[in-house]
Amino acid sequence: MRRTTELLLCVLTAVSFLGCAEGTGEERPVVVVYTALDRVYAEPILQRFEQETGIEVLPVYDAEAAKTTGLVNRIIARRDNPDCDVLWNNEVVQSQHLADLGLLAPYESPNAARIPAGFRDPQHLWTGFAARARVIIYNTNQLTPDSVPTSLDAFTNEQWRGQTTIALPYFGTTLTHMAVLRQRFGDDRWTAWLQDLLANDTLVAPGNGPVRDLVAAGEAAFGLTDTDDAHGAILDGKPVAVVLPNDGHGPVLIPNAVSLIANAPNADAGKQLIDFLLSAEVERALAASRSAQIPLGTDLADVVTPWDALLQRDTPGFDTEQAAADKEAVIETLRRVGFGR
Amino acid sequence: MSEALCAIALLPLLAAILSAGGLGEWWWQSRGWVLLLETLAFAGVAGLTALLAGAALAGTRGPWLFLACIPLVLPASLVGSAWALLLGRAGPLGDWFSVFDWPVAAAVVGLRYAGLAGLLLLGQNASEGGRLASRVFVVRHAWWHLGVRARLKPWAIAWAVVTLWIAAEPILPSMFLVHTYATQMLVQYNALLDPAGAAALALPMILIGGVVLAFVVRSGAATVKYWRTSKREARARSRAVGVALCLVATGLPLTGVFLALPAWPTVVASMQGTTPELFNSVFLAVLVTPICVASGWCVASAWSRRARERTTTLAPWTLLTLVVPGPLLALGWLQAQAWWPDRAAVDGTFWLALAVVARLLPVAALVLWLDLRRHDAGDDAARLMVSSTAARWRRVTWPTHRRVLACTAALCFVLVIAELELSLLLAPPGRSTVSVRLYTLIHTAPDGQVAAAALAVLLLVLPVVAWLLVWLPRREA
Repeated sequence: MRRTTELLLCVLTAVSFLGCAEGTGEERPVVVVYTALDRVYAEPILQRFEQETGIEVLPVYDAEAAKTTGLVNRIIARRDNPDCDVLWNNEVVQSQHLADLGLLAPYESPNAARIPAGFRDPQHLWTGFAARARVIIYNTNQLTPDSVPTSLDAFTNEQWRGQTTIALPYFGTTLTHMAVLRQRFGDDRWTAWLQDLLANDTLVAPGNGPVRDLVAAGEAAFGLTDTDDAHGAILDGKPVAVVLPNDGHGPVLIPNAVSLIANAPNADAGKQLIDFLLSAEVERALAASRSAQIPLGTDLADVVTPWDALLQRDTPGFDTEQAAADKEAVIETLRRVGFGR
Repeated sequence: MSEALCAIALLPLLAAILSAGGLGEWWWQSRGWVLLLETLAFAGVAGLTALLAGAALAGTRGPWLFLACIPLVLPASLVGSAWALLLGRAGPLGDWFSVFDWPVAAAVVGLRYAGLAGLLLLGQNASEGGRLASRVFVVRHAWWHLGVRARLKPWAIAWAVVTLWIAAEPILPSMFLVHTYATQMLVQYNALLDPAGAAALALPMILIGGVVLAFVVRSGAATVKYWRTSKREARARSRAVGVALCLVATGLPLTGVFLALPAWPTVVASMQGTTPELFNSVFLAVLVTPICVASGWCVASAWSRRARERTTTLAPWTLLTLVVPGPLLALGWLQAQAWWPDRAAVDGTFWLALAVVARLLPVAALVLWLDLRRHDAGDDAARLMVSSTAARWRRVTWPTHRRVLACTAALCFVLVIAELELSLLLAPPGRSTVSVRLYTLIHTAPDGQVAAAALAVLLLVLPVVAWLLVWLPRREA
């Protein structure tokens, strides 16, 4: 019986391996894109690129479980044998990190000229487009536009003990926001704010989506999240609205960032995809989507977004290199203060 | 052969341990150990809930056990959202039980694993000796000696395995605002992009897993005979408990799915949007499940045989791969890809299939081992009576073990469909799986679209698992 089982196993394994192996002789040009932007928004745009160029797009989407960095880890792990041509990140700090590791190739797209310089890497290793803003989302059954606090100090105020929420700040846009706040407040004030935040029983959710859900369900009165998460809830008719946090330094805009991977196997097709993603057409589509992203192109002043009353689009970007350089220090402080335990 | 299979399963873990290069800074601070103890406490309580529920389910007949496995195939975020709807502040029971309170959160997490615990206990059916004893002897405190004491060892094993599994689960506990050591592993891996550091964080848990497995290995030589009542009223009681548990553990998340369903045309459109990923997942599951069962059988046979012979085997140590989050193992496989000469295979589904087999091999081996370890002299005699290997399999092995084989296949099928962490890193471009699709939908798409996609998964999984678990065991060999 053992021999039969082992024979069966060998046959099954051989058949499986044959079934798994695929030929590489594709005739149609392809481009492999890793995209951290949520699939529901990225997929229609990639399909449009396929239709317009005839280039087949093989996407790898990120999942909420791994935050934005599952793809970045994959790029690092395959640095000697890259299978990715283009990284379409939904924030910039991890792209800057890849740039620092030498895993990105410079490419100056002709369409990059329409993006303000503050959202582009001077070395052309990444280019920003279509941003989201950090906002305070609040439950409209518990708060009114007049009573909702806009200061980040409200998160540490005894009046709101146990009624506020933020995402676990180690990942994604929340980590970027923390790095920006550290730049703006200085290390001492920022650390004290974090300590007070936890001391005030702030709910620490696993992501910005859960922050939105906690507020919509009334578990928290208000919290910090992104405009795209908030907009989805508003469209679904949930009892939430947003205001801009006022930390005295203006809003935090976090753009998508597109990059060409070093030694990309399909670099030419990758460049075409980057040109397409940086076009006004794509920014317009993302602004009209459920995520209501904020166009950064100077030629799209006419595009209306739900956030126009809240913020100016010419808001300056932040120091991305500094944010990337500060990342480890930020995480160490977050751990020392006690986030995530 | 079995040792080679075990080595394949352990390869990525070994690579992770070797890459760690030490305990790292985290474990030289008290906060690390405090977090580890908190994790074990949480997972232990959740594991106990799973065990008690699983024990009730294992005693039932019919589809209840497989129904209890459904939460495993639903995305953790979806299960968490359903519970939050019921036990959140605005929920109908939120005033009495809050899912954001620690004990309730632990119990709810445990219920998700009840089916797994039940399957682990399924192999512990009543031995003839125990059944006879219950009929012949009127033993004082029989419930203690035959009902509890004899069950302690297999229960302890099942509890320990489920507990370790839950301890490595980062998503569902964090949905209830409980952070475990797995959270810090994700921070090290995903935020600091430091796989070696993440492996260092996993080392103590691997050590704890090793201690638990040493216990499992020791107990492998023992023949467990325990009593199960055959009285009709006791069976009815067991079934009632099983039904109630299924309604709670599975019915509530499913109710959440069905309540969120939009109009039928939207459901159909959403399902159609999920079709490519469903196809990829089914392809993977159909490919991987028989290999998992066959290799699991090979390993479990060697495991039980070596235990009887009191010789060593790698088999039980493969369970160590369950105590670390999947991305670490995926990174080990990515390292292996770099050494592989055939680029075509690297870019195909080969590595994902191999990694999933290695990930699920310990599960399959464990479930089968729990059955095979019941050394039955009658089986041996029957095997000796039949000369042909094929006939021996058809007339002795299959009738004896068909139920546990079907359960193993069903469990592997469900777990392949639900597998996320390996798919994320190893799925080739353009070949995403349905679990990745669901996770991306959950935080971005309207609830109805998520519910429709979840329904598509259920419609796919339920008939296959039902066939495996209900029809197959009843079929006369």
